Amino acid sequence: MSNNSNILKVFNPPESRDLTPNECTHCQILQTVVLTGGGAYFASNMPFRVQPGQRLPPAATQAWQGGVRGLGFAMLAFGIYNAWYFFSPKAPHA
Amino acid sequence: MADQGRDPCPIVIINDFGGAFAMGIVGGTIWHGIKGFRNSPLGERRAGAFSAIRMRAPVVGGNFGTWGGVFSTMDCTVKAIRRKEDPFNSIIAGFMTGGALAFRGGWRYARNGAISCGLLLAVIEGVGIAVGRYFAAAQAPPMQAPMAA
Repeated sequence: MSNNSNILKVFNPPESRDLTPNECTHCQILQTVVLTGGGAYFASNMPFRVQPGQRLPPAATQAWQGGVRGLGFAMLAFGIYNAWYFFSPKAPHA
Repeated sequence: MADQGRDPCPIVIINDFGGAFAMGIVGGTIWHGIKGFRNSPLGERRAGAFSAIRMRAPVVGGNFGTWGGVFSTMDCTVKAIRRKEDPFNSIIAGFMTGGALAFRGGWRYARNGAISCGLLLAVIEGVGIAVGRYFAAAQAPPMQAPMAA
């Protein structure tokens, strides 16, 4: 691992500072991808699908599955909003 | 000032995934090598150690790599949301990583995983900051004595 590692940053934290809009373009793109991709994954209920003959843990109740699904829809909506904002002329980096 | 020396987030994530995977492979090789050696009968110890390493070390590496990749992804996401770079990013990312990796087991597992991972990261960050301040204070130039009137 080089100095460009988020894990090594834990052990040797950089000085606190605000990021400029141009500096974090790639993390905003990644944030949009994570939110839309992860949100779609959670919202699709795929994490709780099991192979025939397998069982989910008993703590994974229907209410919990519904909560995860709701979180997925929220993430998806936030990701779509982020994508729209990123390409809009109002975006700080535009 | 912008830090132009840093790679963009996707590169950092792949870097972290690979680094964590390598650490897991090395640690898993040592751990399961010793375990396989100790648990094998006399005369079969070397073969038992190699067999245990072949079976278990890639699993440990995969688990470490998954954790590293998810943590790095969360760290970049939190950085983009907060638009700040400070130790809280890592603590929040650790909290989210612990929860995300355990959410399939139910809310109790997700809660416990998130809290324990967040606390671990908070302790590491706190120790890192304290050590950094200690060394900064130790290396500070001595104050000059006031001029005599």
